[in-house]
Order: sequence, then structure tokens, then C-alpha cells
Amino acid sequence: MGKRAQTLKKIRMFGLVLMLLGAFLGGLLIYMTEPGTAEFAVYTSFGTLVFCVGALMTFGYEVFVREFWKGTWVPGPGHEYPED
Amino acid sequence: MSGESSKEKGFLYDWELERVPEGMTRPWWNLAYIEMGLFASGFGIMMGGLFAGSNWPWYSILSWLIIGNLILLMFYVLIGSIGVKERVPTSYIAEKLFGPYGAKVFNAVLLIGVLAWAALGVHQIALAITTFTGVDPSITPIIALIFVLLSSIAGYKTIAVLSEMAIPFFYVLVLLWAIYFGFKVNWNAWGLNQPWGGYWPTFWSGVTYVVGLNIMASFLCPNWSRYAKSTKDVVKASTTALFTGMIVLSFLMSTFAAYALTPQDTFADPSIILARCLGPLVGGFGVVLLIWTTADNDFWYLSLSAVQLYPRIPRWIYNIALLVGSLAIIYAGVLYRYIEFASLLAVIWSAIPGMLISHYYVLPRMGVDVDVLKHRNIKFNVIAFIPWVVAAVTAYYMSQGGLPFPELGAAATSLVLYTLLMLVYKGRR
Repeated sequence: MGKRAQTLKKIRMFGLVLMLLGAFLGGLLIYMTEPGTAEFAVYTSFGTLVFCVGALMTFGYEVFVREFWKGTWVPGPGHEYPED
Repeated sequence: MSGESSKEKGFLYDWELERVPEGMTRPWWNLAYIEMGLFASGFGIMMGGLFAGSNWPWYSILSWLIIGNLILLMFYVLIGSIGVKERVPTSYIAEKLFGPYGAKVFNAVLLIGVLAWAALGVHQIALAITTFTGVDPSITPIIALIFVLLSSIAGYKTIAVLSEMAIPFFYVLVLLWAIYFGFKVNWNAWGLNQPWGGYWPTFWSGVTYVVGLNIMASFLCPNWSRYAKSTKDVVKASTTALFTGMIVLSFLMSTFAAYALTPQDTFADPSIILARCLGPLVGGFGVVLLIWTTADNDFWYLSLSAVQLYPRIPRWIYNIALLVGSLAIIYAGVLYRYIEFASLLAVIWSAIPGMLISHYYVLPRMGVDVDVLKHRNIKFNVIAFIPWVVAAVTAYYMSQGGLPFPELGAAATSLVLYTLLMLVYKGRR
């Protein structure tokens, strides 16, 4: 596996961690609060922010690849990561 | 066509003029994200509201969703597979049925009919931004236009980037919130038959509602399925998108509506539901995202149709022109009159899936080649317009008469009639 593929895998893994953190913050901690309270708003807002950034890093990792913006590569079956 | 070797096409190129090459195909989950984004559009939340307020028990509603979506799945898989085989958008697949000039009529009608819904998407995003931020409503359509432009400008590429962020949000956080609000509703005291609830007199009218709302979109499947590696990927994507998006999401959205709406509310408005449940910041973000992921698909499809009409202009330029056109419609204050017209026109679309299924699955077995019009140099296939018109009339009278499944009736009529009429080309290569 090439160096760039390894870097992208690390980005995706970090994104996954953020998604889990966002789901915990925004999706599970709210069970300890009531709707409409300040805690509820803080948990859902931060959870959404962290989760969405994580989702973009995990699933939308093509945005970190130069060739994607040139239109010469997209992630797909057999070409998940760009070549070095 | 030099599809397989064309590498330097630029970011904005969406393979609108060529077959999508092997190196540009996408994984099945990515295709499912695109399809889920198309289904989002507040549909799930609105359906949840209608279900929550209807006088039907939960198991009937779940049965409607399962039966209706099994019917839809058949169409999505069959027509999506055509996209894998041809690797070109629907606007060019139409040339196989109508001929190159006939397809221009088809694409022009599609542009006129669907632009209303695309403009409605921009308008709804603008209204949501105004509601949640207080920004002047004369400015927010421009903000909404910029949002939709950013995600549709490069076709599949940019739509996928938005979906890769939005779809996990809907399927993880929003579902966790739906369960949370499910615990907050006092279901015993709540009762059914609320004023915002949809009214379905019979079981099958409920199934008809589920099928009718989405059967039209099936003939547009090749626009995204041309990026699939195989038919198997289309099956996996469509099954996942329909059964999670349409069944799980729609069904669980009832909890939001049941929590947020009161007997004084007359409509299951997704903006009101999400704002009351999640507050203006997260609720507003959710509503914008829901409509955005659908509106960008609309403009993508429309721009692909525009390319078939005049291929010398790149798709992304059409994309911008259509967005500016939708802005003009909004500012001119004629959007809702246009929607009324587009609603009347909607009756004509359910014939197209039937004709596509006939052309690719029935006619080849009866000795009529898929490329028969090309081989015989037929530029305008009048024969294809006859079943289209007859099926549209059938759908109209079935819906006027209150019969179940007018869309399926139209699809079946067009399938049979188109097959019979196209037999004139049998064995005459």
C-alpha cells in the first residue's frame, strides 16, 4: 500500500473516531437531559458538528486528494485510494 | 466516444457526453447515499407526521411502507440496471426509445415539468434559512442558490461529497433523536386521528400513496446508476436506500411529529417539527440539509437533460443557468402557479418506467434489438409517443376515479402498448 493511501486511511480512522464521539455527545448524552434545556442544545449542537466533520473525513476522504479536484480520480471499487 | 481513455476532463465534467469509464465507478454504499439523499427532502419527516396523525394502527402503516417499497424496488433495480449497462444518463437512454430528435421532446418536457420542483427546493431552503436565522427573505434565495450550486456544480462528485456528510447524520444522529423523542411522547394519552394526519380510507389507498410519490423517480435512476460497477451494486444500493430511508426513517419520524405537533397544527411541516424538537440551530441545520440533498439532485438531472438538447455547452453551465432561472421564478412570484402546472404534468411520468422496462427486458426477448432505432436510422420514433399519451390518460382517469395504483396502471399500460407497437421493428434490421 502506498504512502498516500496510508495517510488517507489514517484520516478516515480519525473521522470514524469523531463520528463515534459525535454520536456519543449528540445522540446518547441527550438521554440525560430534557428537550429544550441548555444542556440539550449544547449536546446536540456539538454532537452534530463533531459528527458531520467525522463523516466527511470517513466517507468524503476524496476531498483530501489532489487528483479528485483535477477530475482524474474518484474513490471506487478497485481504486479506493490514489496511487503514489 | 473515447470514454475509457479520457482522463483529463476536469473536475466539473460529469461524463455527460460519454460512457462513465471503469476508473470512475463508485462503491455501492456511495450510490446508496446518492439515492438516500434524493429520498430525504423532508419526505420522511412529513410522512412521519401524516402517519402519526392518521387513524391507522402502526402495523398497517408499516405494511404500506413495506409493500409499497417492494413495488418501488422492482422498478429501481430494473431501471437502475439499465444505467449500469449503458453507462449514460437517462436523457441519452431516451434516445433508444424516442430517437435522437424524439428524445429532445422528452427532455424538453422533463425540463419544463421538473424545474418547478427544483425551484421549490431552492425556495424551501431559503424559507428555512429565513425562519431559523431571521435573514431578510429577499436575500435568502441567493444564499440557497449558492448552497445548491456548490453541491451540484460537478454533478455526481459534489453531490456525493454533500451526501457523504449528510446521510450518516440522518441515519445515526437523527435516528437516535427519533428514538429519544419516542420515549418522551405519552403514547397512551396521545391518540390518533390528529388534524395534520393524512387520510387514507382503505389499506390499499395507503400503499398507493407510498408508491405514487416515488415511482416517477425510478426512470431517473440511470443518472446515478451509470456510476455503478455492476448490477449487483445497484441492487445493494437501492435495497439499502429504500428500506432504510423510506421505511425506517419515515416510520421513526412519527416520534418527532407526535412530540412536536399539537391539535392546533394543521400541517406536518418538517421545519416546525424539527425546530420544536431540536431548537432553531440544529433543527434549522437538519431541515436545510434535508431539502438541499434533494434539490441538488433535481438540478443535476435537469442539467443532464439540457445537455441532450444542445450538447455543445458543458453541463455545469446549464446547471448555473437553471439555478438562475429558478431564482427568477422565485423573485417573479410565480413559483406556486408553476407548481400547480407541474403537478398536473406529473401524471405523464409514470408511463416512462414501463416503456424502459419493455425496451430493455421484453422487446429483446421478442426479437427487437435495443438499438433498433439507431440501426434503422430513425431520428424521431412516433410509435413511442402513442403509449406515453395513452398511459398518461389512463393514470389520469384512474386517479380521478379513486382507483388504487394509477401510476402502476400507467406503467403497465405503456409497457404492453409499447411492446406491441414496437414489434413492427421485429426482424427488420
